[in-house]
Amino acid sequence: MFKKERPVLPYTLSVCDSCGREGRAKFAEGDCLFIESSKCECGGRMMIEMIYGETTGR
Amino acid sequence: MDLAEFGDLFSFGDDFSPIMMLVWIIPIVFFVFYGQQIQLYISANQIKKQIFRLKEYRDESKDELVNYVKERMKASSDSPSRIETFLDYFSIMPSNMDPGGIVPKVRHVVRSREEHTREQIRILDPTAGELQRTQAQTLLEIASSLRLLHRITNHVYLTAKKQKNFPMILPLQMMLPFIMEEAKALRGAVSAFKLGQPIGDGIGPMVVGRMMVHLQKETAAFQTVWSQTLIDKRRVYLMKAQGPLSSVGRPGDAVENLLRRRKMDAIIMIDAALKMEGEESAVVSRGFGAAIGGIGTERFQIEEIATKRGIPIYAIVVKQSIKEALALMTKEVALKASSVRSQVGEMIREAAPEGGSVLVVGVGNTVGVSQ
Repeated sequence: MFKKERPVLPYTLSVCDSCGREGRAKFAEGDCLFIESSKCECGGRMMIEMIYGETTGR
Repeated sequence: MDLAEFGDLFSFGDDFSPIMMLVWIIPIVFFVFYGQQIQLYISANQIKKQIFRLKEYRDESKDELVNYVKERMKASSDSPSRIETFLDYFSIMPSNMDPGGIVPKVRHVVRSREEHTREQIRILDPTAGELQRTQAQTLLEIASSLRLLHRITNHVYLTAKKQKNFPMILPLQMMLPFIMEEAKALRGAVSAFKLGQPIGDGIGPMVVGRMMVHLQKETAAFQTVWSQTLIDKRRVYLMKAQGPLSSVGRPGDAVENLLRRRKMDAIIMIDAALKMEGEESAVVSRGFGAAIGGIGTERFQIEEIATKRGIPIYAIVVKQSIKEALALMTKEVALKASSVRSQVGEMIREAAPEGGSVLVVGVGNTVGVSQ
């Protein structure tokens, strides 16, 4: 009768500004949109394109 | 069952029983005189449970604020008592007996409060960064709003109970689901603001912020930035609150400042909008007029200057529930950013001729959204 709220997990989606490779990781404090998160394997910069919450479980 | 049996059942037959009559009449009389009070008692019990939940939200949000200030801002030991004082601040809105010219007065009251709160938070820890201070200010506003919701609801409930005033409890019972929805949304917003995550309301700044990456930023007004670029041979001015601070900036002042210096063919405003019940979340809609919420002073300022200069205002909104707008941005909303960007491109081409100028404003709290 009462739906239990499912937990929401925050994710950070980064995209390489050179090769376009995407990488998804759990959100870490300090992440913010449109900053460099890490270096890509190709040598490009992984830029944070999205931070969002996704509900887990069914 | 024939008629005789039916009569027997209700003592209408020959063996008429006055005791059976009393069994029927006493409850009827009882409910005539005390029915409303019984209903009041049942409703009051339901409301009491919700008020208890509001109290929990109020206390939790205050604890979160105190912890944030202690852990992240290295505040002094007397900070909890200072925070307690800030939470009880109230604003007296200007008299509206003569409503002409009330908007600058409202703006003045609201800004005085904001500036005072900002200063008090700075005093808590003068070494804290701007990001921490804006986050603490937002957490303070959330805790203060929850305290106000609890206080008003509790007041109406206790008054109705004290006076045994059933008609007074009815509007409270009707409004309570909406109050609880807002309170839950506010409570849910605390973790996003504390961690500096983008919220659903930040879709406007997210769209504009992405367009501003690699461009030179200039200050347009307090905590508000703008950049200039060329899109399809049109000069486009991009404006948003300064991210990743937890701030909505001052879009009213910023638009006014820019329009004094630049001629525009159109203004496009991107914001989150509350969806109606039954509507899908993350639906993008286009329309006309200034898409900006809040108390109304910023919208008034933008409408005023746009009307004076005859500049049309177009709006693009991404619909969400209040909970989605205040909590960590959902994946569905985040995925709409690229679609909104392409729609902004279309609108720019439609609204201004080649060589023309358009101002694009991303409205909303820009926490976790840089540019």
